[in-house]
Amino acid sequence: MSDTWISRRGPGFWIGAIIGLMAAIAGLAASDAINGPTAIILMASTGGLLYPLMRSGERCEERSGTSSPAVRRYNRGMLAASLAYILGMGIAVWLTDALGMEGTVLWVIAFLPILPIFAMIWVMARYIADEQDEYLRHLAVMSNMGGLALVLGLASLWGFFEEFALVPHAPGWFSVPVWALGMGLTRWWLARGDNAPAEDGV
Amino acid sequence: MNNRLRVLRAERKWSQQDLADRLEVSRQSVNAIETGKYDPSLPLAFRIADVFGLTIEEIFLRDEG
Repeated sequence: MSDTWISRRGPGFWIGAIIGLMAAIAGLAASDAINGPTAIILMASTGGLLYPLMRSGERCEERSGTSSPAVRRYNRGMLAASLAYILGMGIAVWLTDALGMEGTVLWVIAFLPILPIFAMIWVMARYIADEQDEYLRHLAVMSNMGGLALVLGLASLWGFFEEFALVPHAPGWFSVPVWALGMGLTRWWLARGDNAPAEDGV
Repeated sequence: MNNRLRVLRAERKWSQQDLADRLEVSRQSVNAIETGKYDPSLPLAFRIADVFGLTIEEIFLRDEG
């Protein structure tokens, strides 16, 4: 793989590669072709693809004029937190499944995937505080509001449905992926058309 | 709020990126302001006015009605 080949790939390629590899590893683990620890190590290894994903995203941002020093710091912070999350979750699941941890140690282990999530929230807060480009900051704040609206709305809806035994129990950690989904959708909605060439073509 | 950014840029043969570089903002911001999608803060409006050597009122126009 040359740098040129890598640099030609867009974010969609890397997202597809990560999802494809994760699905393949999950399939191998489900069919008992590989054991649990091997699956966790392989899944954690796919985290290495987050770096080319981040770089391809940054190249898109630079081309479309949506980059800033704060955006680059945010990308690196999120990459580090995501890698820590994958590793922390893998280690925590492996330790509890394979070694049957319990008591105080289990409380400590449970924090392994939680702390990187706290780090992601902090990275987002720092981005909003650091971003000097007021329109990009406006987009980030509104996107976060969109994510928050989806989390609050869905959690309330699901919580009451669950209360009346209409739906199965949903784990609380779902809030972060739902927040990220709401944020991403809101950002896409608000920024659609922003990257289009100027009407005068320059 | 309407504005004359596109005309003023064209008069100076500046691209959106040229203006963004002068204002130290992203091209996305210039595009959003130029198309009326986003109204800049007063400090940024003053910076835009300074870059063009005009007053804010000569660049940004009230919505009619």
